[in-house]
Amino acid sequence: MSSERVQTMLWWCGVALVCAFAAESAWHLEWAAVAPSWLFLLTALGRSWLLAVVAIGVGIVVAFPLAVLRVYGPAGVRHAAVTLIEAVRATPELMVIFWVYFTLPYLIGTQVSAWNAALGSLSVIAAAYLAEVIRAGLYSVPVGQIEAARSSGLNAYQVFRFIVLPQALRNMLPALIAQLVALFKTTSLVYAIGVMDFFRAVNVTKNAVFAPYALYLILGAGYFVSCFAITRVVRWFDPRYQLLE
Amino acid sequence: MSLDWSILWQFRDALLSGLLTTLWISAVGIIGSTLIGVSVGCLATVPSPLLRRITGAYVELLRNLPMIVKLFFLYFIAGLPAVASALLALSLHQSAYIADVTKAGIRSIARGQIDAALSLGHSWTQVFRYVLLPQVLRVVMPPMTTQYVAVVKNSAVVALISVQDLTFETQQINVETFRGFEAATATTVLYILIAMAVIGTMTWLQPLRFDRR
Amino acid sequence: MIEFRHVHKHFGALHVLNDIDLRIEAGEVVVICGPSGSGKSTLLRCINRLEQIDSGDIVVDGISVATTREITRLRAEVGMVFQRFNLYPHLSVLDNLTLAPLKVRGVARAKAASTAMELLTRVGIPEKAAAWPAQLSGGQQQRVAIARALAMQPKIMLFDEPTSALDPEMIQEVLEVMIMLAKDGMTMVVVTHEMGFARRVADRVVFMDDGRIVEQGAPEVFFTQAKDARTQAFLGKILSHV
Repeated sequence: MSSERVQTMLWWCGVALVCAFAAESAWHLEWAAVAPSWLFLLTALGRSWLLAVVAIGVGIVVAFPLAVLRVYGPAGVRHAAVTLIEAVRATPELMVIFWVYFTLPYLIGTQVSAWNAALGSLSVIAAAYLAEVIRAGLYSVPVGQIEAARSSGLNAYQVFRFIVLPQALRNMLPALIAQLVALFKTTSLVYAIGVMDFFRAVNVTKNAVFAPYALYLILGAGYFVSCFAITRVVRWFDPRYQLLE
Repeated sequence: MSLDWSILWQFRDALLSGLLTTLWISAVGIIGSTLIGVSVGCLATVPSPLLRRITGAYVELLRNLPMIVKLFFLYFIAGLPAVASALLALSLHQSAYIADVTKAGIRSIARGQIDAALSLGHSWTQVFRYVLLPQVLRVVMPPMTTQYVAVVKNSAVVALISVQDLTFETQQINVETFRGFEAATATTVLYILIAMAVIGTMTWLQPLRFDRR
Repeated sequence: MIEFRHVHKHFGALHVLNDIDLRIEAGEVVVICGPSGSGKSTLLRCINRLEQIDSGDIVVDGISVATTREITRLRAEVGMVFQRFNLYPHLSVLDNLTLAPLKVRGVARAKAASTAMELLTRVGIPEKAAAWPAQLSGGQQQRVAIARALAMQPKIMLFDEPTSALDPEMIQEVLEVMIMLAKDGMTMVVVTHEMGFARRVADRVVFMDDGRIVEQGAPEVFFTQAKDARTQAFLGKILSHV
């Protein structure tokens, strides 16, 4: 039997053992105490996803013009865009959340709810990273395509609209989804400003009900399964893509 | 809208101590995650299906969980002291990404380089030391820099278990003076400066191109 | 010097080397040609065990390649030149040449450097000793690669399509170096499509197809009186656009 076969068998035996052990220990956890909260936790998970999806949506809307300015704008505008994007990207996500939470009331004039502050800060984070994703997508269209289009008589706008944009969008799709997954993980930080997301929901339940192991298993599973499933789907579409988020 | 920037001076000691805490936690996080991550990454390139799957599982498990989940798990569930939880969570979290970076870096060196060195009679150790390692180090520097900046950013999360870093001090200032905006702006600038320092150091360290030693 | 005895090799389901029997004497220059996928590169790479055979044996200078425990010592005696040069990009030309003599044979640095300079002169580019591979043209890089292989003073030189990655105007400078080596009596096994080279210096031309040696013979005979239909078809294709 080849060494490869042996190793693969060894691996699946190990996986089976770990699963059996995990199932056995999980059996004895305090599920009864946790059960009443299942809807609460599930809606909180949905809320986390909602935050991520809406933030990405708003982020794209902001990031797109930002990226276009970054790539096609005059030198001064380009530098300003780069500085802005890099400043946000260099700041810890938690700090961005705090900063927006503290700043928004000054900008809008009234008190801002934690939910809106969370949405705002996540959108800012999303926009900064998406601006880079869009820029990479725009650059990913081979120069030869643009030259061919220009030489056939299309003007700059038409080249962008009909040649560059469609290809750029298709190329950046895996990276876009990777950003969604990354942002979903980042939503856990809104715990710090009191938003009832999945992470806070689990912690609140933990303080109310004595079932720390079961709850943290749910916590881990919630994030792991969500992220893992989506990255697998992307990899199924584009096997060569390295999701580095 | 009345801003009061003087509180920054008032709380300069707190901010300074927070800054130092962030710096040393980040430093340990960088070292720890590099040690673990590079080891896992090297193992991932060994042509053994078993090792590939084990390292793959390690990376997937750590990457699909947010940093805060690992932090709270270590502190509340495993019961480790706050600082230990912080350092361990930070190191483990980033090690998964660094493992991927290392693996990609090693794979990117053309097989022909290894063939050429072997064909001249070098042992595998020599191939690794004189041909692979120098090239991998050059290739891997830029993505590593991104990862190290990420360590600094993720270090902010440890404030949530009351480790007194820069972010924690910002919150404290806000609680005492309600001047959260001023404090947050100042610490944001500080974090950006730290990130720039990291990038600057890495650029200075990096043997840039293949026409300079 | 080199002897293949009933060598078989598979890549999964593909039978890439099928019962290869081949003898190459010391001082012989053997050219191996054939269509893509015929196994000629694999055959070459088995000689210094960059690829391992499944059955049979290869004996190089009295040592069995399949079973020897000192493969690094064997490899030091067999030089190899690759299609893509494979120069170390992070080392200067001189360092590329001296690394192996220094680390594998423990030669003194001064001696290694002087040998390297001699070889660079021999291949025609002594002035490039301090340059970096990226600064050289393809033809120059390949000549450095040949010098690097020669720095270990091998008994045998293997060439795996050494000119296939070169622009046409640089092929000649590399072939000149190879012809010089052949005339100096080096044992050479060359996988190539350059039939002009074969006609000039080869002692024997071997045609491979589908993992088997189909036909072999002295160049004059091989090119004009090929017996097998496959050989004739192949020669027809490559000789027509010289």
